[in-house]
Amino acid sequence: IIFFFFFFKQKTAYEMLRSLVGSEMCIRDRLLLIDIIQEMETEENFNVPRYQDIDKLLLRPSNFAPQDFEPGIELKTMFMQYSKILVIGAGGLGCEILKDLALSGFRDIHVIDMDKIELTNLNRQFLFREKDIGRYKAEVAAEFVEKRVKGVKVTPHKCKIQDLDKEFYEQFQVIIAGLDNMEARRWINSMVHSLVEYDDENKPLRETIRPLIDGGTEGFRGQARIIWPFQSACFECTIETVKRVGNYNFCTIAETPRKPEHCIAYAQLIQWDKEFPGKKIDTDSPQDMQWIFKKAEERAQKYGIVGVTYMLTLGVVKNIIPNIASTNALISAACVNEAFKAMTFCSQILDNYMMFMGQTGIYTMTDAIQRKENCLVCSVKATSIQFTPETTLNEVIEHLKTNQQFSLQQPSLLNEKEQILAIFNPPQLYQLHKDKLDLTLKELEEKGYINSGCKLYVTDISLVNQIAILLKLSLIHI
Amino acid sequence: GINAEYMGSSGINAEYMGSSGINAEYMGNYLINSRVMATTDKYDRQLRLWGAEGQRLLGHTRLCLVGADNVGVETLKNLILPGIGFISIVDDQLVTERDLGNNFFLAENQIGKSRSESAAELLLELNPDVKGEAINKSPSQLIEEGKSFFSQYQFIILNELRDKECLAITQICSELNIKYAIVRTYGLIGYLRVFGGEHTIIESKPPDREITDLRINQPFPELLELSNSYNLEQIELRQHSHVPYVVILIKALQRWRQENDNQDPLNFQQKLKFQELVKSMSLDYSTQDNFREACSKYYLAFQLSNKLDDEADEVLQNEKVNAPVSELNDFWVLCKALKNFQATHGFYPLRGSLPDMTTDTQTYVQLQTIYKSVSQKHLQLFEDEVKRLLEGTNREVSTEVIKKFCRNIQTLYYLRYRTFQDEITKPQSPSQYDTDCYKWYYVIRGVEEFYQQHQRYPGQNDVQELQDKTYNLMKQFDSQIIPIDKNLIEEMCRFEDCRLHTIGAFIGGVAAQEIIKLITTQFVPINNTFIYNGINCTSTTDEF
Repeated sequence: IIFFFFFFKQKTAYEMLRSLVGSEMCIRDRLLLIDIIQEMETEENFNVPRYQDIDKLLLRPSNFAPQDFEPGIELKTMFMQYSKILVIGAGGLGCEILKDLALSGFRDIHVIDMDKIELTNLNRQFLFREKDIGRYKAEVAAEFVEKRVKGVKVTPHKCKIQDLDKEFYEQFQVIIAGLDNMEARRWINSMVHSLVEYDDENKPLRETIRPLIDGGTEGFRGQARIIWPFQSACFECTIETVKRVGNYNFCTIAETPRKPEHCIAYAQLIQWDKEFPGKKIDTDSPQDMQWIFKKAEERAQKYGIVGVTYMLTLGVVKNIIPNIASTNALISAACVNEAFKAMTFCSQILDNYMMFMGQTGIYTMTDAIQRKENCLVCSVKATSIQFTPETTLNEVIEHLKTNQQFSLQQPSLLNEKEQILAIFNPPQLYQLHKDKLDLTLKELEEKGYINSGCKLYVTDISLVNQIAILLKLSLIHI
Repeated sequence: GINAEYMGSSGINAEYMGSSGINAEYMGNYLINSRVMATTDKYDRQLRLWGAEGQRLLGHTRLCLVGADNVGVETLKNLILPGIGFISIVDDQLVTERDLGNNFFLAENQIGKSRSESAAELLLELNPDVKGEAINKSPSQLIEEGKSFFSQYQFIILNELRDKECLAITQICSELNIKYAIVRTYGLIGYLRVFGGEHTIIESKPPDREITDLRINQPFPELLELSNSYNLEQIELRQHSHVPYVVILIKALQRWRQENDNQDPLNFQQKLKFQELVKSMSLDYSTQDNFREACSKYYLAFQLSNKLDDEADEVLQNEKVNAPVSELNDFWVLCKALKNFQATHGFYPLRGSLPDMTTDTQTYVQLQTIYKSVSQKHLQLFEDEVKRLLEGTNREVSTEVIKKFCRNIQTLYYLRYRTFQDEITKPQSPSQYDTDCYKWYYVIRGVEEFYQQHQRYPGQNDVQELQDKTYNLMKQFDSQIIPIDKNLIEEMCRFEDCRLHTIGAFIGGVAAQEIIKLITTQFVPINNTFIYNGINCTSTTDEF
């Protein structure tokens, strides 16, 4: 464990030591290490009453902790001095997570959030006040926690997670995500996997396996899970089980509306574009929302449908999910508790998923999600797709976008010879290769680009690394 | 003074004042909202769960937190943010260094100052809608004041108090019919015990369970008339594809009865055959959504109008319903009226709402109108029955409440809580012996006994004594019981006196959730103990 912390803070020192003694660490170096640690111990004294509760876990042994747990001052010092943790999201979960981390001995915390504070955040995002409306969440949250908990440093990043690179993410030992959408979860999941390095025998280096802890809440429901890259099931393994946003039947909306929601959807999806072509609905603008509400009311009246309200309009258009402080609090606490244990090994670690349901009584289920055999991110085995030779390249792209197993946004394809088959950005490249999109797979085969059983390399903004897919041509579509 | 407006489920006015001073009238599903020009209400995200009435009850609640330790303070934060009415924080201690290590609402510049005042200051700034105060007293002082103090509140949170104080305070609460929650943390183990007295619920709002009341099995005249107006054999495909599944199932059932000696499908095999019959009535099953809906909801044809679902039925079977009206509160009077209604008419009042189904707009609206008008008739009859029961008394139940009750008879629920005193002095055997909850519960009981005797938590040298105490407590139910795994005892001694922020934050979330359920009388609260095991991230609930 100590070695693990050492890896992060003293990477250069370690590299120096390594160059002296080769890839094995012998007793002499271990003693050297202890000397350095003892030196560091004098830098800061964590033996204060403030930490007496955490002390019970870090200084005392336990039958529930894994075998390599070494309670003591060394561990405590290393943990409090050198742990570096990243929080993604400074909203309902993020605020709670930051508070919990600050009061669990974490002293170097980074937080990413690109959003600004709104009024409707204030019923649960307790680091914000009415005067903060309009400011960046990450900044206000960082300020608040630093001010409240002395000795804790919180560095805000007001940007998208995709704006930061591997070098940034590499600095952290653990990443906790309090996100509210699938795309971001997917991306950070693939990022932590891409950080894993391998030794000469192609085995992953333990210290590069950074756990991703992920929390989510909705009303009285919540879940917390821990992902160990290439060890446990990852987010991509379970991508097909992610609940998709319910859409109303188009025919119903357009021709046979029955519920107030149908009337609202009509105004949102059909009438708006007619009236304001090209303009996107600003769901935070009272004017835009009032327009939709009015139109929905008119339609409802025409059909004799009751129940269109402004509140319902907001709910439908913004796809509002109810959210309360209590669920956010408990899921965040569970996540941070796991982060603390993952860093210090002071007790068992969640294996690997907990679901919480609090509407009728309380029911929690803790289970180990299994890895998916052909997961796009964490498995060795490539997924295969099968098409008839008449299928066009365009249809293949569509499949990769709409099929739940893939759900990619705008995939570009390369073949085994690294030739571009399909690409959408930048426009010049798109122009250059777009003719291939209308070709059938048979035609592409004839031209020598592909053959049945070949590998395709797919790049997409939803995932960090390129993924390999096996393409099969057959008489049946799969 | 006592807030006399909080009377449990007898909701009064559904008017709710939004936080930005604008009067936002939320009046339920069927009426139109007055136009609100502001963006949205601060409470929007939670109103979608418990509605205006729930919010009103929350905003009228006076709650007292006894002790300013982390876990209770976290619970309070999760009640202040959603807008609880008034809070008092009671503590006679001063802020210490230890507090800075586990309590977010006690800060460095408050060291040496009053704990209750410090916490109150940092908590109340979370939400200007909430009013509150700090009281510099110890739990024993409150106990001495007794009823005169506690009667000011509807809810008490006992924060990291030991058994002795908990027993004394809960005794007073039970006598006053005040609800309470005990919150404690023991290292990685979190503990919550709630008491809700006699808790009646009208809107239990079970998730994932669509409540339908369509009367397909015994259609009322207006519904039958609509169904008869369809001749499935003669209409063309487009119209055929818009026949609502209610009508399809009525007709299918009629056919089945004709072919089966006027009997309904009796067993599962027959019900499956019925489903096949429904399918066979389609013209082009793969494209007819209405027939696919009818097939997937075929079981609605067997739903009887004179039967309620098990949980609601249990409420009506309660012996209270047979007692005279003078002994009953509003909820039970309504239950009595409901039982009489069913006995008189042979069915329960129609719910009146119609789920969405594939059909054309005109038919849907027509159906909707039919169901609404019949349910309105039933509501009137039900109201008459209630009035009849209360004749000669000075009592009255508002139309609003009667209407809410009548609409939600399928989601009635009743919970009766054991007091904490009974739990400790008259322990009863738990429902399961093998769960985590049971094991850690008894270890906690052992710790409390140890504390009672030695005035401190058991430490790493007290393993044997804690083991003995725990084992003795468990033996009283089953003398053959195997001693508890020593690992748990040793782990608890490892914790000794350990109050971790995260475990407190977890229990704070759970406790606040349960308190909200008890205050709003919506959803179903636990009865009565919840234990969180932060070692392996599991939890269990049980009644002790």
